[in-house]
Amino acid sequence: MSDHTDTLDGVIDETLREMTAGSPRQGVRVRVLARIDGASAPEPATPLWLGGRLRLAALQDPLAVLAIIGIVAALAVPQLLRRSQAPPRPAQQLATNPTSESRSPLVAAVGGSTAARSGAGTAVRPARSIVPSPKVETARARLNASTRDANRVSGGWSASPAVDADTEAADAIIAPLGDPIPITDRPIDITSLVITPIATRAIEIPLIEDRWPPKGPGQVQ
Amino acid sequence: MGLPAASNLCVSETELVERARDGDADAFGELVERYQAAVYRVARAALRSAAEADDVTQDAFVAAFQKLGEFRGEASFKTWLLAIAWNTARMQRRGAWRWLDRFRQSDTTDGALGPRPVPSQEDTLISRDLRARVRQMVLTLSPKYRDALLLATTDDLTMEEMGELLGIPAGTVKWRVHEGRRQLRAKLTRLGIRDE
Repeated sequence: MSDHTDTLDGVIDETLREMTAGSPRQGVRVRVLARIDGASAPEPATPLWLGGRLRLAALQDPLAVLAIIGIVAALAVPQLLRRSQAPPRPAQQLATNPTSESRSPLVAAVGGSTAARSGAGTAVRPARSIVPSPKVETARARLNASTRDANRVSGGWSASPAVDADTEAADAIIAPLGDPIPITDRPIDITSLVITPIATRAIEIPLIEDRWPPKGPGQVQ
Repeated sequence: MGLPAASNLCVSETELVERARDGDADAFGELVERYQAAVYRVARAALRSAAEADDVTQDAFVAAFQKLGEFRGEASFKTWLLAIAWNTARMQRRGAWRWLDRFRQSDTTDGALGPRPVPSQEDTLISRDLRARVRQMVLTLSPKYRDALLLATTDDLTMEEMGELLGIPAGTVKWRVHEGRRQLRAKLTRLGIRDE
């Protein structure tokens, strides 16, 4: 070991000694004994509520508190994001925006019945996604029922007993712009249907399958 | 109250502890007189500020008095007392502001320790500036090395006692002291102070 090395170690030692040297202020004994006299009777522990405990923990070990906050945030934020990005459930959508596409055009046209407002649109599927399912059948039946309700309320808007009685005949009301809908068991995408003046007049026609398009004044030939 | 303070000068540590445990404040006062410097040095090893070390010295003695009933005499009273002082100082060191200050200090020291032209090695080594820079380098050491290095410098504790304080074997304490010193030398070398 060279002299320089010895000197280098000497500087390090000297510095370390400086860092731990010194003595406490005068009167430590007096101050300590005074505090002991004052604290001879142990003070009852002050109950700390959650805020106090958190503050104490943050002062004593801020790293741990930050770590806990980070973990909680890491767990909660993705859940919140996922929830906010998920499409709303049909019931929510109907409640928040009853005029959206989830509501049937038919219901909109006839003013909507109580049954339709209370959930008839919940089973409606988007256009061009015709899938035979019980939901579609249910929606169809409800729409038919709502049509009957609307007829009653409007005081004979549809005067044909046959149409009121036969739920299948309600399909005749729902006429697309193009061809009439054949009365079959095939499920119908009710969201793609609209009510046209032609269709409403067609209510008066008992059997539209044989007489379509209807002939008459003001009708499309 | 116990005997006058003057009569405690030749009393053994064990007897003083017994009397202090029985409520003799003067006996405990004599223990304070005997060990306040050692307690202060241990507090200084954990803390940078002399004022904080002074406060911790008082806190440690008060805590020791309140815990005298737990002292079983397995270790010496001095070792037991220094362990209390070390733990009190560590709790003080963990405070939020000190925690932030640690980062602030390590940020500033890097800039302050930038390479500077060293006119003469001998002049530099004896200068106060160099000692200040060495002090800053000690503070930038990892706490496990810094604590071992500074505790060893106090000469108040054996390696085994330091191991009990730090919760590590005595051999690990020795290694940390050696490694801390090696890192300091490496930092000095990077500053341009090289062994030739």
